Amino acid sequence: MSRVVVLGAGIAGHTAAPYLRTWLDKTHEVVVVSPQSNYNWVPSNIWLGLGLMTEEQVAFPLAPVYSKAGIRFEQARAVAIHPEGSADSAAPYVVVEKRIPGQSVERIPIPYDYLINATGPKLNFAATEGLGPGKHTVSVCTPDHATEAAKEFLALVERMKQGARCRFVVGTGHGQCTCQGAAFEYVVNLEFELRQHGVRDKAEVIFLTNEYELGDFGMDGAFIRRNGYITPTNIFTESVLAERDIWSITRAHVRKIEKGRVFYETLAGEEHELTFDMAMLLPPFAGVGLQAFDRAGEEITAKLFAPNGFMKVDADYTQKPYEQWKAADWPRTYQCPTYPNIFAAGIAFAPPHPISRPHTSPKGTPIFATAPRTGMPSATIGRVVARSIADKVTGKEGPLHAASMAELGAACVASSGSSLLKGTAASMTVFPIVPDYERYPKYGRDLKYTTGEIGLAGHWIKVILHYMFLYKARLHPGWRAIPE
Amino acid sequence: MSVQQVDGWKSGKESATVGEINTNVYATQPTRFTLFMRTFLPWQLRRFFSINLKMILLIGREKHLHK
Repeated sequence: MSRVVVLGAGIAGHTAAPYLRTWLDKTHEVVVVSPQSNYNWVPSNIWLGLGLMTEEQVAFPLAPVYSKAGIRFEQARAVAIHPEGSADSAAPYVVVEKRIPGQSVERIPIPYDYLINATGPKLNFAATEGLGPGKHTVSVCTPDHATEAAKEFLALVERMKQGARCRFVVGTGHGQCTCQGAAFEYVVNLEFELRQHGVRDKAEVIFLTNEYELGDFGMDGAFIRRNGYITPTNIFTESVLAERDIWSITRAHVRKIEKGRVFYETLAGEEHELTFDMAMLLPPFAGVGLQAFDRAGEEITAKLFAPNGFMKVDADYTQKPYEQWKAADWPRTYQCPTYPNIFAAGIAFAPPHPISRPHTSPKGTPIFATAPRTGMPSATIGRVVARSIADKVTGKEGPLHAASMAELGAACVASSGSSLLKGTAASMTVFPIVPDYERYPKYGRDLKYTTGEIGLAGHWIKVILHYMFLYKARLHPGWRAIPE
Repeated sequence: MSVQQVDGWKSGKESATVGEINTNVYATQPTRFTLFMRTFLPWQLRRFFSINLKMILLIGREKHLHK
């Protein structure tokens, strides 16, 4: 009997655990540890953050789903990994903190044979003074955050209906953020909703981003073949903002936020400030702060984790300049090199370097988009890691399964207005996610599979994907037929 | 430290940038025909199947690579 412990029940963890349960017979145990009681389909938080959906429409309780599937669920926070076991036993285990109702937090060891670290990111609001819910800006990273954002947005809409003029600033709250796609989606949806409420003429909308150029999206931009041209995503994104009269600020590192004021440094080294009535600024990501200890109890966190808290896997972490980056630097199996029974999936793995070209301001501030690894790649990596572990548990010979982001494509549908007949969405596919200039020397990607267009059809697809992926996440009959 | 001069309401239309803010006035903009086609049902139904096909091909390619 083997026990596989999955830390995290986000897109990667919640993909890996059900597949493991399917591929392993009942003599083996699958355990999911997550501090959250609910699963959240994060992409739809954009709509929740504008009052177009409720929390119940984007999230559901995990316990009944796991109970039905035969997966043990521990609502707890993982704090430490002991990959060599303890002085008493060589069996590896993970320590979790569980809140017992009416009591203090209890630390519990959970032994494992295989471990998947799918803890996702720590939303590092603390990296920027004044950033985040409870301070001076809102966020759509969690259902709670998005609900608060919607309340603030709708309150301002009411004020604008009374004649007030408001400025909305949407984007990234630090020079090292990722997820620009989500911020872009929020800003165009917000602008659409202002029009729907009949107050667009009362609003000024500004997109503030750490990207070097619009359309970078943390993947060094992309080229798309359309209308007889090979067009960079910069042109595509700039056009989407221009037609909506959304202004933009690029190459910005948000340094500090005060009530109604954002202070930022640009790549040119200039300091600026901007007033706002509402700001939705995403935080940078970091690892969740897991520690690791050897058998003697000595800390070995640096052996398992990169300085940013993400787990080291089979990537090439050698420091080298942008010109020497290769597709082969990216991990393929997501196996921990020092402890082969540990894997990392989704945002939890440490990328070898960013995808976008790094830039530093004259003051030494790094300002560029960091590598995205959310959504489709996270789920695919979760499935592939589960397959590798299932093979090992069942004694199948052969190499581990692989899903390098340099061999993996991604489809992304970014809503730009939610309406069944008047809405639109930008539908993009890229292949591969990490450009491979050895295979595709000119553009780094296969232009046959790298596409983009905007239209109502994209919105229909976005709505269908919302219901389809929640159906899959609830593990309803036939869930395996739905791709990641 | 300079303060952004953007409080003149929408006054930046005359130039491409106001301080660090890009008003995107020189960006490529869709024609009325393009905007019409974006929500024209028969065309969008066709695009719906076309985009889905592209995504299925992309997924198919991945499955082939990661077997």
